[in-house]
Amino acid sequence: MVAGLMRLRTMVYMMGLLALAVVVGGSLEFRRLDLERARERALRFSPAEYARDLWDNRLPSVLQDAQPADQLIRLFNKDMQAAVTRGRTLGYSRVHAYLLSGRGRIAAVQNDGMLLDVLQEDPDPEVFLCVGQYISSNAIRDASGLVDVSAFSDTMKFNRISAEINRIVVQEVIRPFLDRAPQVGATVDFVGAAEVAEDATAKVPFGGRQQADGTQDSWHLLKVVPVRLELVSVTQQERQ
Amino acid sequence: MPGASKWFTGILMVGLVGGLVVGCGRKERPAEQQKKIAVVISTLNNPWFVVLKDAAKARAEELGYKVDVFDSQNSPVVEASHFDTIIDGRYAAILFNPTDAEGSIASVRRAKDAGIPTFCMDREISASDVAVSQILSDNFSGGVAMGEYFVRRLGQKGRYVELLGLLGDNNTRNRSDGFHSVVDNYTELKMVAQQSADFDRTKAMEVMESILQAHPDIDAVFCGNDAMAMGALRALVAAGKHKQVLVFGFDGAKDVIDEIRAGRIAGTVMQFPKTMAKMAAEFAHQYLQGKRDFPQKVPVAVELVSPENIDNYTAYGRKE
Repeated sequence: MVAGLMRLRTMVYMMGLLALAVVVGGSLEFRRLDLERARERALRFSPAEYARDLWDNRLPSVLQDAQPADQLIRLFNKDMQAAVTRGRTLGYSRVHAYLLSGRGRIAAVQNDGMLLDVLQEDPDPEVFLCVGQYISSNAIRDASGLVDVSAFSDTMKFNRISAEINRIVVQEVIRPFLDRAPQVGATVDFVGAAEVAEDATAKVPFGGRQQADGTQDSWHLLKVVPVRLELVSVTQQERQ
Repeated sequence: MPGASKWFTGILMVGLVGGLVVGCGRKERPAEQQKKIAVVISTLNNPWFVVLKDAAKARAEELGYKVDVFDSQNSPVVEASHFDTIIDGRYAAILFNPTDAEGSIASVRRAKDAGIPTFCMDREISASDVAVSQILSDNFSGGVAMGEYFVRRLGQKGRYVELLGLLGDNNTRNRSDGFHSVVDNYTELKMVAQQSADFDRTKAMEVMESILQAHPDIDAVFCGNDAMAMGALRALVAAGKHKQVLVFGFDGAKDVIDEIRAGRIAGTVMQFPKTMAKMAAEFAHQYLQGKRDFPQKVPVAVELVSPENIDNYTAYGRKE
């Protein structure tokens, strides 16, 4: 009798639990916390604010890992495949992005950039430093490794980040640098980002001239978008 | 024995409750039905998407699946009805080229809720938690490359027209935004008209004819895809203006590659539909074999094609 009552009570409890499970199961939806947070960020997304936060708070720490530009150029000219492994690649691409730093002598000044001679052993310039009035590049975004395309609900947001970063570069790096009127022959310390396409590098080395037909007009330059630029004074150079 | 019976009842009920809770999350499918893959394409009225479809179908079949193709005819409504069919038909996976970045989300979500994984190809949906993965052309970068080339070819000045694709497609915006991120920096380049021709060749021809009536003195037209570039070219030929107006496309379709060789189209941006389609089919196969860790978005790089490097390219890709 007692056992029967106990069994009946258990059955009632279990039925209640079952009913509760059906009700709760139907009204609850489980989602991954990281995706929910990404969704919340996306809803209040401002490319300008995102870029500003990246520039001020996150980018400085990864700049410490910038690769020496001279070593990277030599590696590209010697072993492209080895150099490719040292860059970051967005998705499926033959273009690779690098953070790099170095020192170069201004060999020429053009409308939208300066040619820098970085390798001492090569008299020709190897770097095209982007110092024009606008920048169109994803180099900093992609080389930093700080911006994950999968975190954005649509790629338009992802792309607007680059546009905002480039705006900061023009306003806060390039214009103050140009205000100092850098001239041919001056020395520049730079930290920046570059994108390199495998095919281009395979055909013509950085800084080299095409030798096959004897012409001297086909140079290959490493296009660097600056993050930091500094003119090095003669005194500084002598001190170093 | 009564104690054992009580424990048996308890275990049975807990199992029942657990089964119901798990059952709320997904539907189980018989193993023998997990061999059909649906390829859903926004439109097959454009050769580029036919290549995308053919490559997806071929790779999925190579991997051992039966493949059915669905043509959405650029209509989210038709597309949604295809998803009904696919869900009812218990397909194992969907290789999906959406019609609308926002409007297609609900269909993918329904498939997900029915336990069918979706892999987007070429076009994205504006959500990061419904498709398993989205393999997309890096259209913004393509627009930037085209913008830089466009500026160079026009000598930094001139009057031009832009033909946009489907306004609900993120590719339309990304290509145009990338292009304008460069071109708008040149004050002597004036855009005299910007109109949508829905990525459609015939509509592009009609729109271009209309624009030429109002602006007969343009120097260039940038089209958001190659089908529209061919339509615009046809209108320019009919008006006798194709030798003075530069036409630029985006896709790498066969007829435009041929026209670049012939010197009647100035350039295009090569996308790689075969690469994207194969990758989507392989992702689906890996998913059905148990893999779950996929990147949500995989941008696939695009490349500028001009008369200078046309010898490196064939229709829809690079020469091997």
